[in-house]
Amino acid sequence: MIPRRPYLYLAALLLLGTVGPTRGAEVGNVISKRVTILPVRILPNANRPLFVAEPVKTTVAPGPSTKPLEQELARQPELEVVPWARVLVTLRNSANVAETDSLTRSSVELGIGEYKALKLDRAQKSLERALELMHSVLLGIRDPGLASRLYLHLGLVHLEQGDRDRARVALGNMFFYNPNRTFSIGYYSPAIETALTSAYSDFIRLAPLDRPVVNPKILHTLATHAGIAQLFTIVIRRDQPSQTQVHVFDLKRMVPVHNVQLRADATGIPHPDPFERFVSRYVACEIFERFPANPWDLRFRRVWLELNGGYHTYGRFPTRTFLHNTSIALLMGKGISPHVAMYGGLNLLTSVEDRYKDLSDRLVSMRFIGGVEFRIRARRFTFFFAPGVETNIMSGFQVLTSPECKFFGIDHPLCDQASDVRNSDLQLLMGINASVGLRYHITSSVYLGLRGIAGMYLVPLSGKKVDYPLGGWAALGFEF
Amino acid sequence: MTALLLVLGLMTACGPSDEFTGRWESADNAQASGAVLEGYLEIVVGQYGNDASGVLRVYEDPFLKFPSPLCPCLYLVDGKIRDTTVTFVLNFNHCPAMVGEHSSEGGTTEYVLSLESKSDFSAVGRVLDSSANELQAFDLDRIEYQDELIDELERTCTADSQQDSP
Repeated sequence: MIPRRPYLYLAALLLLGTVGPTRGAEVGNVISKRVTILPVRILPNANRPLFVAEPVKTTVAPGPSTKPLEQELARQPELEVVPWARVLVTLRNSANVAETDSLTRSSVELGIGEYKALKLDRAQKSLERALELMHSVLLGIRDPGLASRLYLHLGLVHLEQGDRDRARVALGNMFFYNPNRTFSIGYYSPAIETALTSAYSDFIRLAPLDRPVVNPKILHTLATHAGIAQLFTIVIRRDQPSQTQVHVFDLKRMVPVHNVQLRADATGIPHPDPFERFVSRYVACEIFERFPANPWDLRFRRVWLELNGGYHTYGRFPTRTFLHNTSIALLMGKGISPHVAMYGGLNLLTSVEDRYKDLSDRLVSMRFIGGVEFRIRARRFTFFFAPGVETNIMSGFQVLTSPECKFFGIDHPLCDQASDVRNSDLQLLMGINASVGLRYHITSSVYLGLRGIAGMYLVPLSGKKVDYPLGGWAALGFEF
Repeated sequence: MTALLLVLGLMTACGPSDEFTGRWESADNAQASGAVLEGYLEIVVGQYGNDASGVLRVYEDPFLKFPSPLCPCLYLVDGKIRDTTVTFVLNFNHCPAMVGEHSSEGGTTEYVLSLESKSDFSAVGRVLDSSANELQAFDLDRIEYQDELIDELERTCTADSQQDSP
């Protein structure tokens, strides 16, 4: 059945369309944080033997998959989970990585060779150079085995040089990259074995396991290149098989934000239940940035004041040729939603001498206009359509149609007043109008505008000397 | 405001031409002589688009400006402008002496005065009969060229202009 009140439905639709966007426009959406989960770190027992008959030189065997944890994190709309493998690819694709990787490996081999040849100073230089290169392209993160080997030999060089403190730091870093490293019994001197044991003890107790590298500068490089906001690190300590450590490190602030111990499942990773609770807590407490709300969305309620100037004429006019008018207008408006505003203002018109000088004097009009403005914003432009109503108070005027009346005066015998003189008293005209236009926003507060306005008078019903107002205005506007 | 000034400028540029508006007088103080007008001529014209009206005064001399006894003042009516020429119908109501002289059987003979603009400040005046035969020609110079400068008294043939004749 066809509704009998189409205007009512149209009005309701319009209201929904204009009020709806208001709510969403108030606040910008949350900027999701890019997070990644590092490969699970498995720390052996603190008292495990470091020196064995068949040493393990390679880095740790692959730990349990972090996929379930990634899925849990991905359920949070505030987080964007980037798999670690993708982070590595991103780092590998950075500029000059391949060349620097190669140079790093060469420097490591050179340093090791020089150490074996007991050229300690040159070995130190080569290894420190390799260290610098390695960190510059985050190769230690991508190839922990190489980093472990580098730090081992750097520690050995420092030991041979008698610098035990630096040796201890270097050997501790070796265990950071390869916690499961073991050594052949009797291969190293007792002094070196003591240093290794001591470094391992330090590592187990003190190592910052919540991050992939220790150096803050390198962490910053990682944050920049990988575009990651926070790192999740899962640490399984063989000493505590029922518990798993979860560390969250913020790469922007360079601080650990969460360090918790959760119940582990059979594989060693956090059990889904406590991990879910932890993630809920983490998301609730974390500060998430929001996209700045569109300034236009926040500005829509502002009041605007507009000074217009331009041309005006009428479709029906008392003169023989078009009646030209200069027009100035002061309009004021206020937005009630991003797409709707109310406006009103005053417009003053003064006629310009017509071609035949039919008007004996200037015709002055004062228009009060007002209405609703429907608008749409596109970048710096606002386009609008504004239907409205107007009242025009028009001064009385006299129209002379013969040159004799104009030249000799209306009282002259050569002027036939009956046919050549038409008088009109003060008129009050009321009608409707519509304007279309655009605004160019120079700044957030100032704009330039163009407006075309046309209308028709409905009151009085007959006897109108002028009708169908038509104008074009340029505007300078302010929003505040 | 710039837009307003631009609009004003455009409207002014598109406004009516004032090619003939103003006061014209016989060039070089020359006396017009011919079949219709005799003396020193002064023509005041008001132009309104393509329409015009005016007054033609005839003086005995250019300096003291004694009105001509024969015809001191004529109204120029029904002025029509085409290209650079305006044509008026001469109204002899204020020239009683000439009414009889220029009347034919059944009514007053109609004469037409045409002004052909040669430049902003010079024109050629011609008196034509009803058959468009040229009866008289004279040169005119423009003395005033603004509507506002034409006095109200100059726009009409007053009683003085008929009675002051010597």
